[in-house]
Amino acid sequence: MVILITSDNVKYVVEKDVAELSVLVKNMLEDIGPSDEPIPLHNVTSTVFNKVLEYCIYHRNDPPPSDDDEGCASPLHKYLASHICSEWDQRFFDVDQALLFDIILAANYLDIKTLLDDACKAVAHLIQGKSTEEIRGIFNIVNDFTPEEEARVKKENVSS
Amino acid sequence: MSVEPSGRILDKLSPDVLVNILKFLSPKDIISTRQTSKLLYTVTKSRTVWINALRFIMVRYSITEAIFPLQKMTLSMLEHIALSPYRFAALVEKYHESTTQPLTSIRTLSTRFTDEEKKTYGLPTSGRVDDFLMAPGGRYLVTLSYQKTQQSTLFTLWDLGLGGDEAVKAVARFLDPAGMTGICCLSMDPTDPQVLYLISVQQGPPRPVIFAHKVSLMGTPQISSFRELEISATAPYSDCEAVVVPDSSTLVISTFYDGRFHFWVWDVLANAATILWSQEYIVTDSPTVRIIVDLHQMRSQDWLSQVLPYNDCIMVIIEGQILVYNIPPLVPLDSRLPLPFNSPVILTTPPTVYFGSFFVVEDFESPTSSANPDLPPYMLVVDHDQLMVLEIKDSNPLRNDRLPNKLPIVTETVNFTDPVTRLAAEKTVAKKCEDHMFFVHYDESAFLVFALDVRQLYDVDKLDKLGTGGVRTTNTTLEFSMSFHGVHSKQFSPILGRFCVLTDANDVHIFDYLVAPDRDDL
Repeated sequence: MVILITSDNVKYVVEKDVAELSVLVKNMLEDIGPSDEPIPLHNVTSTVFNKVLEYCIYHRNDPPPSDDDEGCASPLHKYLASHICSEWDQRFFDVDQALLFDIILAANYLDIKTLLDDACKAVAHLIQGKSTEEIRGIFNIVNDFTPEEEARVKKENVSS
Repeated sequence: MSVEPSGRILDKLSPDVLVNILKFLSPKDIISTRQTSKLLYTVTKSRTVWINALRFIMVRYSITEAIFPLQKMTLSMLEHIALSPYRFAALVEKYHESTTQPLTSIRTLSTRFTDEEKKTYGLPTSGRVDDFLMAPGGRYLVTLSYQKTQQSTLFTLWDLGLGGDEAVKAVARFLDPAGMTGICCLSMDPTDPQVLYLISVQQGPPRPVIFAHKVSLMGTPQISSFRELEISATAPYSDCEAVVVPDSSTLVISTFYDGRFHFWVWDVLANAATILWSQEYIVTDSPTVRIIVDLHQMRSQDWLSQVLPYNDCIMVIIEGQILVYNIPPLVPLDSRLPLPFNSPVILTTPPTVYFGSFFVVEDFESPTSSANPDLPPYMLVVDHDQLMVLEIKDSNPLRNDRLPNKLPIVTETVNFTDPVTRLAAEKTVAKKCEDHMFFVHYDESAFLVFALDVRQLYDVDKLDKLGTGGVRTTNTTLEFSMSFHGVHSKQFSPILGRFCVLTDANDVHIFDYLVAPDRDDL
């Protein structure tokens, strides 16, 4: 068991294999050696960590993502496998945007590659097939181009 | 829960994370995102973003890194190629109902041989081109010349370049002792991105033989003999056509013999095969004769196909029916075991399909949509003046051998009411690339290109409102800016916006309709 403490001082007792899905935690555990010392997670609140933990527990037995190009899976098969979102993941990421982005930040900080990728897919899914104006609306992006710049950016992308 | 104004949300993410989000978007979505703000403009100007984006296109169209060397290409070239299918559609839209000309100089292949080549291959003074084929991606072209005196066939691999302004080079030649072969297709090697297989067929006698030549693009390109397969259950001089099972080294070779269509499934790399066959057809029955004629004309170079390998099954249209075969285990050819004959698992009869149809699978709308139940894979069947949208249902979760793995169900039929479009759909070849289906019809002095945004077809509610005549197509005439007599065959690639023609006068011309970016802009 590993003890983790979030930035708002909530203590979690987590099984080692689950906690080690985070490369950050794994490295810290290796550095300090066997110990009951709690590990502080400075950049993660308990609200966000609850979600992270739910994800890690659900995915604890997934085969580790492999970067090697060997094996019998074809390029397209591998490509799609890395791009598809499971139904569970789709439900899991069906949260408000602020939380979704906090999950991304937490995944990035904790160094959980699969969670980061899956959360990024969820954001990508919000963008797919949308126009520039719609994307601005969804993410509340302020258009900071001058009219001339905007015209130029548009032009450079439609010319055949 | 953090309560921050959501306007700041994207700014909180580091560029690395933003790049990671963009990895899951299509090139067109990346462009929409780029135009939102200065931050995203900057992020979408990174090489990593466009390497990912072009790879997104490449894996879906069986284009390997030997064809588009991702690591060596400039940012502007990566962007140009990733966006070229969309730009080609934009070009058709821009010149809707008008004409345009090639945007780079027209290139012509030099079919002359050097003295050294003449000595090496024992060739006459100049080469005739009897057949040609463009590899996926539009960069490489293979030509074939019969050497009548020697009863052999010379293959030449040409590098047409990426930008449309390079000199065309013959990069490899190969003299095949088999005489009178025809080029069928080029397939990829899923285990080696530097290798393509050039598939040719020799009609016999005594029996048709399918040859797989290995084209190695590593370093100095080379073509060499690899494997061959004799189509034993057929008559000499039978027409054989081969299509590639996407994303694999497997071919489906169709032929007609003894009243039945035979489809040989051959994995070139594993050298294993099996045979699928249809029910018997009575040849004297005129419609069936028509199919056979169609099959004979079903040249792979025109991308016209009645055979659609998809995922774990092969679907075939014959005489108004769709035959669905589950791909059975293949038998190693060196085991000398007889190849089994497999019957279709199911025959479906959609309301109106008959002949001259071809399929296009709407594979993957977007990278993450396969898991989205709202966006199943679709198949399009073009049939004279109508276009049918079929949903390909996964129908065999328990993998029962007697049930079809996939079941095509008609969801929508669209009539082409506009006479021009009807003509196009009837007489053309089509190719689907990204959001568009391109119909290309050769006219005496130009290509007529029709583009249909297939996304319209999947919005069934909207279609109902518009009525079946409401599907919008755009069309343009791409002029050659040169004149010649007759076209023997043609090839086109929406990726790169490139067309090649083999004229009756035996010249091969290359027309590029998209402008490549200036290479020196980095």
